[in-house]
Amino acid sequence: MDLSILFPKEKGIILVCGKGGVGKTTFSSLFSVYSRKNLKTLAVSIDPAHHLGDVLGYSLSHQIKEISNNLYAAEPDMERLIKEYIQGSIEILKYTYKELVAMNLDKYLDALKESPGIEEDTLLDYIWKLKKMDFEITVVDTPPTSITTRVLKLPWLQSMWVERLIDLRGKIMGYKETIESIKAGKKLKLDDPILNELIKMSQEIEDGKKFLNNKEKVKIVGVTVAEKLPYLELKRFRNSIMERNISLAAIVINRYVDDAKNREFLNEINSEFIGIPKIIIPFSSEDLIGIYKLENFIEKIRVIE
Amino acid sequence: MKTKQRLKYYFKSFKFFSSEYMKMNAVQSMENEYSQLLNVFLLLLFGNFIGLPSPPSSITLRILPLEINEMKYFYSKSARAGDALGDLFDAFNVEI
Repeated sequence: MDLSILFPKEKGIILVCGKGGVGKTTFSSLFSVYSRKNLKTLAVSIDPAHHLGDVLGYSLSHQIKEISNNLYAAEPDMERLIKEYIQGSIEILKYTYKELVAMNLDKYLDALKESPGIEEDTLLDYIWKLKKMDFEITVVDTPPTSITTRVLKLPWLQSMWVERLIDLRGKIMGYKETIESIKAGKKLKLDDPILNELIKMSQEIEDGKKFLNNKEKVKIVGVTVAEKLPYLELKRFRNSIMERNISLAAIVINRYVDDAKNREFLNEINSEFIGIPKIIIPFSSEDLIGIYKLENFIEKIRVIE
Repeated sequence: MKTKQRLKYYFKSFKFFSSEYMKMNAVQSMENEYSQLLNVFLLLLFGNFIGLPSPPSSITLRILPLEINEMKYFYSKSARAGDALGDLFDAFNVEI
């Protein structure tokens, strides 16, 4: 058993999750360097505290660039992503609401960039963009679990809202149609762009939910070290995503040392996460920085059932 | 014969006016319900203007450009918030 257990059947996304500081970036880099031998790989960090470039030994930016044969990487700028995400809507709104200056909508629109939840929306939108890109495997170094959990649950929250809005809008249109038909004295069929847009949105959200539930296309890897707090957070993360039928594809135990404490920890992990492969990354006394060092270190990684 | 025709005409007129009256009443009550549902819909979407929880911005952002007419209506309604007389006139379709 080796790291290829995480290879998707066609193309897919690996989401590397875990508490801050457990080694998500290290694993993302190690795995990307490993997978590029077989698959066209993209490594991206959506953690606002970017370190992917530091570990890979390249200066990365918002734009995706090829850093080595078959390996591409990027560190998207969150502010730029948010701006891109809302820019289209802002332009339409600023144009159409010209006459409604009295509402001070311009100020509101500018404040949208800072509105609560926009970061999660933007991250989810970015994941959808990644899924459409031409890479056989995309390794995503995610922000700490609290943000990632909210991002992964977002399609279900969106779905709940959209279904309610469709229901309400359907009733509104039902009334409007009846009123207009009575007034016109004949049966009218009205077209509602809002209802159409909501239905379109609902279909997109359903596709997103199916994608996240597809274990062949999305593999979620939980990273921990042999310490109580990261372990408890990983358990909570697993329980939380399980509510949405999303499961962990593997657990990475980073900085593993073959001593009594680590062995006991490994036993606990094995009994808690039954049937999930464990990837054991041994402790490295030197900094794992640069593709060459990462590549040499890969052979020390063990994968157990 | 003349009386019969006249009666027939009266009944026909009565039937027409009563059905029109009932139709008008039904439409008016439906229009009220329609208006209330529209308020709820807009409140659900843009309630954060007044501190209500709102859907994820990914939904509101996509719907907002399509809501221009409803927003205008909502804005004019909010301009006369608390104006009971205005609402009453509105309910009876009285324009001043």
